[in-house]
Amino acid sequence: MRSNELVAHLLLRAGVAFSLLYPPYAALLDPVSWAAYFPAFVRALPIETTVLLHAFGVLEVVLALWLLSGWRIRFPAALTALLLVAIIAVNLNQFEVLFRDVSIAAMAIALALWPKSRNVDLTNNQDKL
Amino acid sequence: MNNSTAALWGIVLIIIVGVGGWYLLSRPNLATAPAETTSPGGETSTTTEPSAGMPIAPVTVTYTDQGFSPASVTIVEGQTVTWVNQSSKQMWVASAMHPTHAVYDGTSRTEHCAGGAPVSSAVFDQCSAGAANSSFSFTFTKAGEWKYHDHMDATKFGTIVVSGPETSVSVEAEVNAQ
Repeated sequence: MRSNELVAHLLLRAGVAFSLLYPPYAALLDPVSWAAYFPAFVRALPIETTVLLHAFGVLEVVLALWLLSGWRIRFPAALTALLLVAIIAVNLNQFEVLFRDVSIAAMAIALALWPKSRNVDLTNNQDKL
Repeated sequence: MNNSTAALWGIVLIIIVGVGGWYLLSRPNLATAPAETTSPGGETSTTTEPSAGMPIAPVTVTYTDQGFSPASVTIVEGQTVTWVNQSSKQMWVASAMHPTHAVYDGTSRTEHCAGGAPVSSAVFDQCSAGAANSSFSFTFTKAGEWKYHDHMDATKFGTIVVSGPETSVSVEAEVNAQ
């Protein structure tokens, strides 16, 4: 992989990973605001919303670290895109806030579609050509 | 581009167009027909524009587990809206957008809710959660279409359309300028 492609790939991974890491961090500081995004069917679950919020945060952190590692990146990238599209779909009334998720989902899809021969991970920055 | 890649792009395009189309079509057109908007429970909006010389009566919006009703209210500048919490949970009425609540007065929640209460009467934010059967009142002094939500459950939202002299003055000025 050429160096500019490597940088582009790393930026995509870092960008998507940041969008996954910030919410669980902010949810620790202000759980009420973040729990307010839960749709009705999630609130109806017999689990404390704060517990759900932090459990979801753990999932986001796992996805972010997986994306950053670059290992089998199609899976976390596709899962992230799916997650973001689902978040947008169940929170359409919040689209003024969530519109950026469309862009982040597109970034995740770009990572999922990245040619396999050009895939990289942080443990081995050599081309896998 | 091979067939599978083209198919993936097709799926991506369909998702984007589908979500975008659903969003645009599901939005009530408040700007053109405020009287025809509906609440989550299917109720029509309320328009309360008093005749000249009449006292401006406050308007009541009820909050239940289904959301705000009526979801859209049209008032005049200086009119007060009272939200009554008849739901089984807490209610925190606040200006759009969640979670900053900055649209109405331009300040963020951390600024205008310092100490857990509104710093002035111009702040459209309850600034704390009110229990069931509590209420919150706010007097709108700015014309415009002000969206609000429940900070405890941002999926519940409504709109206050405030008409005022500024609107007619600006229209007249525009006409005179032509």
